Amino acid sequence: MTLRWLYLLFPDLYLHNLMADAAHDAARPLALLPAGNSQHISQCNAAAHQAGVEADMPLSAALCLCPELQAVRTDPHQLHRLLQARALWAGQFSAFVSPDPPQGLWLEIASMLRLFGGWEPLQQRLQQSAGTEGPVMLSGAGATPLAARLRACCGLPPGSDQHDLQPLSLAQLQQGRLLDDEQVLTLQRLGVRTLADILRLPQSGLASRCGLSLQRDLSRLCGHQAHPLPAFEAPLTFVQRAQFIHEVEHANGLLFPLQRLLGRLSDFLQRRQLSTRLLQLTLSHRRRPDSEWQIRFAHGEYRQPELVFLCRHFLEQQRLPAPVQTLTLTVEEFVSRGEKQHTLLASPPSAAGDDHHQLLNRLGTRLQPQQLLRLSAIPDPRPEQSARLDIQQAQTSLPSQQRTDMAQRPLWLLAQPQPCPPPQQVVSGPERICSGWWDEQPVRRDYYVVLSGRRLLWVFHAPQGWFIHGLFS
Amino acid sequence: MPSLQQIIGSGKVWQARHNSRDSLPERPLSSGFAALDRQLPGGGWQPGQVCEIYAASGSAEISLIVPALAQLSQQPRWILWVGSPSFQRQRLLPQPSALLAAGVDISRILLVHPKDEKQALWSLEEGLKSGHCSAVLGWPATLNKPHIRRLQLAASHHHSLCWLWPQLPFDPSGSPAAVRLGVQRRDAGTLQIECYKRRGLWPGQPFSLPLPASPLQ
Repeated sequence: MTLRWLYLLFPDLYLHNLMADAAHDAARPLALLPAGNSQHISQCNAAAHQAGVEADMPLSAALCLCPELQAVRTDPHQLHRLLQARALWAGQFSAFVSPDPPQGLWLEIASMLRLFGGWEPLQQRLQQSAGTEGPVMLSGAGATPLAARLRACCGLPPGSDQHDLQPLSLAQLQQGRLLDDEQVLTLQRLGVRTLADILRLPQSGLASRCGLSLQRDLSRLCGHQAHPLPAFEAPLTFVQRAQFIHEVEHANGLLFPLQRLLGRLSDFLQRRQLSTRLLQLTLSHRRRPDSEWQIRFAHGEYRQPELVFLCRHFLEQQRLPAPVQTLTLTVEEFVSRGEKQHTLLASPPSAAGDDHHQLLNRLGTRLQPQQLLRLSAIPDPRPEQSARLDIQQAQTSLPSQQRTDMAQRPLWLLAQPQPCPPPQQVVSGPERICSGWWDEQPVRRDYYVVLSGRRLLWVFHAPQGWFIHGLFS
Repeated sequence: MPSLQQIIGSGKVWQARHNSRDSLPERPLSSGFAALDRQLPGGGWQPGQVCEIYAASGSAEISLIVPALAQLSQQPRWILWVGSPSFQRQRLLPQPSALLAAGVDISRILLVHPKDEKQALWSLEEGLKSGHCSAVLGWPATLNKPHIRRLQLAASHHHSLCWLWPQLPFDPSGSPAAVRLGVQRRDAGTLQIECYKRRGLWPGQPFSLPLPASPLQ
């Protein structure tokens, strides 16, 4: 039999995530209570451990030992989301990932060993990728999913047969989630001590005493029976949440956890070769409805440093309505990155169209859309109609062709023509512009270029009098 | 009493050797006017330098750079216009037809209408720092030396061109900008230019510059 399954166990998944969002007070003792009503501590961090707190200790006893202990109850939904995020991460190592709640993942690796060049390099890659960010990871491999899980839970090296599993004690089998409390008790009464003893027992008797499920699991463990696993399907949208032990009171305090989420978003987008133009932040408060923030970009973005830059500028302008308990980053709208052809020969870096949009995004975070404009020309003889300012996002820049038949035009135009006295020093003119019969703003004007003091002005004469309309700069 | 080293360390003294070390790292951009090129250090507009142009609007102060803009607009980078001058308390709007006639590709032009001076300076600096702008144009209404210094540093780091038309009278007490020009229109076709400051050279004598009979004149 070959090494087919890899099991990854994240024993401190929840605790690690809590600590990561509150890195500034990592030295504070922290304990986790299991979901439900239990008052016994399920896990604690290093600081709490130093103070004498241990797993399975009643909360009251732990508080006596360590009065400043912070106890947080596990939220099963959040744990589920964290495991999903891990499954998403594991997707880079295997095409088939199956979550094993609450804290484990199965990866099919037989088909991947060739790609990674064997078990050892794969193991290294896994540890390397997990080490940069992420919780403690235990791994085990075996020919069947249950064998892999047993090895991961008991810390055994990978093996393709069941020889090394035979001497495992009942307590270890329980730790590996092969047996439950009741089954352990029954087997102890039978005088069974190891897995080898269980396998020697007649199957029918075992099934009647310990239930069919144990018999089924044992034959799955040995590979006599197929073990169907649900495949993890990567979600099409990105939703991740950061949970705070202490409420965050300033918008800038959100930046640190947000950076981590944006890093994961960047990985997510990179794997799908997508970009996004809309980030949604949901902030949950203790006594208020959640607040929703939207961060829009002029152009799709996927790089983490750039996303962080844009979010930082956004957060700088925001004021929190109330202290924040959790922060959820949701991305549901994606844009394709556009076909970017890489040339064989190096192209000049400034020509990269991708970076072209970076400036627009950056300016867009501080400025309102109507403050960032593009200029386009309209072939209309009336000066005030011949220019159009488009909001940058509109993306409808007309092809601008050069008019050669035009007489002199000033660079600057006044939004409203200003009345003025009749000019003294005419340089050139008149040029008659008589147009606009097709809409409600017909004009009939004689334009002159006029020197007035040290300025060159564009002045017109209309039935209402003389007006300054532009400046030659 | 501060020692000379302290004064130099605080950046109050310009040292000629700094200029010679990174002397004219880039090929200057010809201004399109032979008489002006002769006066500008290096023989043209130097990337990485902030240039202040003091002129009343309407005195051909933009015409000086329009040939350079036409060349720059051939690059696939933005030309950022931050703010605009005003005339008789009205904001002036740039006309595409005049720019097109001078050969400027207006699709490269990005206009920013800042809400206040702070936003204008931020946009100018961001444009220079991004490296995606071939030129940054600004019409600041207030100007202090730290701001100019920041812009000058950003421009020299990223080798961008920056032209400013301060909307206030010439400040004779100096400025960190590399080039400072005063422009006055003498008549419809000639300008009088005075070079108040040019890095690496002494201030020049006022000279007159004939404008070509272009639509921008």
